[in-house]
Amino acid sequence: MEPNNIDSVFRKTINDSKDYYDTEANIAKKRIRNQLGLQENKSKPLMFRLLVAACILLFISTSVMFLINYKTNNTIKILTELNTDLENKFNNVIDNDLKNDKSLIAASIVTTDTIYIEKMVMVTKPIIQTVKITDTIFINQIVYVEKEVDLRSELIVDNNLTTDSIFQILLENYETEIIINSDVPIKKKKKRKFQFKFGGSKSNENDGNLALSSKLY
Amino acid sequence: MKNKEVIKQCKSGNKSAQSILFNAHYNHMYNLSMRMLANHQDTEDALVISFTKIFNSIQKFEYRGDNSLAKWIKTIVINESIRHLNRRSKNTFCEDFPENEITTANESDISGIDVEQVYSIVESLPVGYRMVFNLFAIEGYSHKEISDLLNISESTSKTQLRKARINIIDNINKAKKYGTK
Repeated sequence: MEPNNIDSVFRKTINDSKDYYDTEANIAKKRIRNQLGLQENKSKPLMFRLLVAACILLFISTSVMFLINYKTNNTIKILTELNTDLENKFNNVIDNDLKNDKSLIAASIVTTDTIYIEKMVMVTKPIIQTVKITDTIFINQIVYVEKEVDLRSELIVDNNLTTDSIFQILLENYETEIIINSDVPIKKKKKRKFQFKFGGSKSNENDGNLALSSKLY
Repeated sequence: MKNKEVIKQCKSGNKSAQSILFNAHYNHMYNLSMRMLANHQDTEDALVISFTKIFNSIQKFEYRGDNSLAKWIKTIVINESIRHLNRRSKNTFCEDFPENEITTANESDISGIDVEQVYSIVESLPVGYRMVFNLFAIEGYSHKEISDLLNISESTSKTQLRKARINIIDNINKAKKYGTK
């Protein structure tokens, strides 16, 4: 055998199987990279990163919605159970009451309820107020003073008395204070009489006259 | 990102560019170092030191095409793998080869050999045989270059290669005879 044949056969075989130790090489690769201080190229495309971010967000939102839905379902379930229990209790109470007469009596009793109604009442106060005002009014007025008979007759007879002299006489006889002074001569006051008559004449029986009659002269 | 732009960014200390460069050459360098060291732990250690040197010394690298970059990186990895073996005192080159162990085989003997058997046989070679066989037969280094790298003479390199081939054939025959790799 040609020695060169061995070389060629071995060379060809080894060159055709350059990855014979690749399995062990890949196992040792990470250790060797770490010792050399090399890091793996982790450059991912932007779309991949966006896709990962979207998946994470979707997962989080789905989880949150699932939790909310789960809590709601639990609440609904509890409320349904409570409602069922209440319905059962109500039915039981109804059944028991029908059997009991007292419940019927109680049902027939009319009870009154006091209802308090709040009502707003508008209280109006009169705007107009009566105010007492005291005013002093000065009036010029003729005051006629009544005098006595004697004096009167004297005064009536003597027409020559002047007003002043009359007043003087009156002042002497009466303690009356004359407020108003007047130069007008006092007029003679006509003396008047008032007559009462009891009974009537026979000629007036049919006239319907009363037993008492009066007359002013 | 093109290699030229990557190298430019690596020179400015861009971590992303360094990561790109690492990912582009890591698997190939791992296979290369593993064929030479035949040990995963040693391969990891060697690669860490290799790529550290690559990132630190890329300032001095002059871009002359994509092949220049791959060759430059491979040279650094090979050198570091050899240094790793020397540090562990595993690199031994047996100069004396007993004549009784020389065997021959026909071409048909290696026909039908599968990939796993190939890798298994290479891993089972002694350190010196494995290093020279990988550099000469697989990577295409000359005996002069191998002698410079391994700090041995060219005759030693040739001897190691011959011994490696004989050992490979022996192992193939044993595998076929006993049905094991």
